[in-house]
Amino acid sequence: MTLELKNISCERGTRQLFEKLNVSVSAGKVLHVRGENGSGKSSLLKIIALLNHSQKGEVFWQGENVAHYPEKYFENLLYLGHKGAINLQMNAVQNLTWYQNIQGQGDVSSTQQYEQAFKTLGLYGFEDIPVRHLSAGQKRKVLLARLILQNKKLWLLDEPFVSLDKPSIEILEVLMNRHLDQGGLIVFSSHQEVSIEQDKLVILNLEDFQPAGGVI
Amino acid sequence: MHSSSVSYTKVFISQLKKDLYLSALKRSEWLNPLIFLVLVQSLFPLALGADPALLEKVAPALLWVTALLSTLISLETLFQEDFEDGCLEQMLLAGPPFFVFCMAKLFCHWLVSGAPLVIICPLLAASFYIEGEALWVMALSLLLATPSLSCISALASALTLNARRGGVLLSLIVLPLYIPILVFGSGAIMQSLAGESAQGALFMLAAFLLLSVSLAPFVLSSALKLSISDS
Repeated sequence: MTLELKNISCERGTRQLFEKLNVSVSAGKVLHVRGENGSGKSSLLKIIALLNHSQKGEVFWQGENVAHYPEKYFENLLYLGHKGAINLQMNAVQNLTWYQNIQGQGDVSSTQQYEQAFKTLGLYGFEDIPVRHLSAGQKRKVLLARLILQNKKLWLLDEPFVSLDKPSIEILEVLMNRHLDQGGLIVFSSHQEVSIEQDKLVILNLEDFQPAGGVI
Repeated sequence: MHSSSVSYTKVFISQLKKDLYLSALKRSEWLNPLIFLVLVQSLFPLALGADPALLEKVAPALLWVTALLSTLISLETLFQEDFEDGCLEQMLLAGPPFFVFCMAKLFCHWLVSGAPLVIICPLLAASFYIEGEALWVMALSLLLATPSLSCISALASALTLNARRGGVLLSLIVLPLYIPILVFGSGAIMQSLAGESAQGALFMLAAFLLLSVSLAPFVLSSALKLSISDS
């Protein structure tokens, strides 16, 4: 199981953010995307999730170009983007149920991991409250519940540690390590160091792929 | 789990359930246009005076124009929320084809903003002295035309998602496309009031309906993908 990025370039407006980016990650490994603000971290994750069609480059999953069979790729993909994808009017259970349902699965309360997910993340007792009444950190945790509930091989996490407190950061690190042990694959962007064994970690500095001129 | 095992109908229904639930929470969004419609349509007979011949003459045009304007008010919010909170992105990655979600959103929009018109307008038509067959023609013309109106509105709002303050642009895109529907819709009622057969106009509306309902979900999904790509 591998994810390969071939020759990816990204421009925003008239600025070339990065170009000729080549990297590959295999099962059990993490790709840590780093770079200053505005270096294109979120854009890169969007490109990997096939949400940005205007950029150049190819993404390969299991050796196949994902543009050819996107459905097969999406089955394995969990994308937690820059936009939270959480509806503020609905409560946590409704939001997570929607995620399950649109992938053709049953309601979230019928899954075995449901209670465990809420307990692990400290959301137990907050299920029935509309998400708009939760704090920023709790909102993020509702999204992180997807990591436990949905059984996906490839995690694409855009700034997953944002607005989490210290205990929650540790929980997320545990989740990430467990996912790697089970042969999963993670691509995430973050400014902070993460406690993951060095031999599992692949670091990608977007500054290394900045074009010489900067402006085209 | 393979994507072919996912039931599109189930996905359609769960998306529809979510949208209807949210519409029920945000009642003012779809109630305001309807209240506007009821107000205008009930004030006109009062202002024009109780002249049956005059009222009957202006009724088809007036009822249809207000119906169009009320759909125009209700359309800006169609994809805005899902676009801003990122749910649209997740629909793209969910596995089932994106047009399934577009169909659900279209159907929900029609249910809350189009279907009520089919019931309300014929009720208010009584104050314009419209009776008998013309009432049925009116209900039928609205039933055939409102889904097309929803499709056109949805398409325009998908195209203007990224434009800041797209409201004006939206009306400019939508109005010319509404015009054929307006012409045949009010035409049908006028013909029926004049004692002629309204079949021709109704068939035209049916043709618009088939065209828009069969093509809109696919065009919509491309337009939304573009908007997501650019954001």
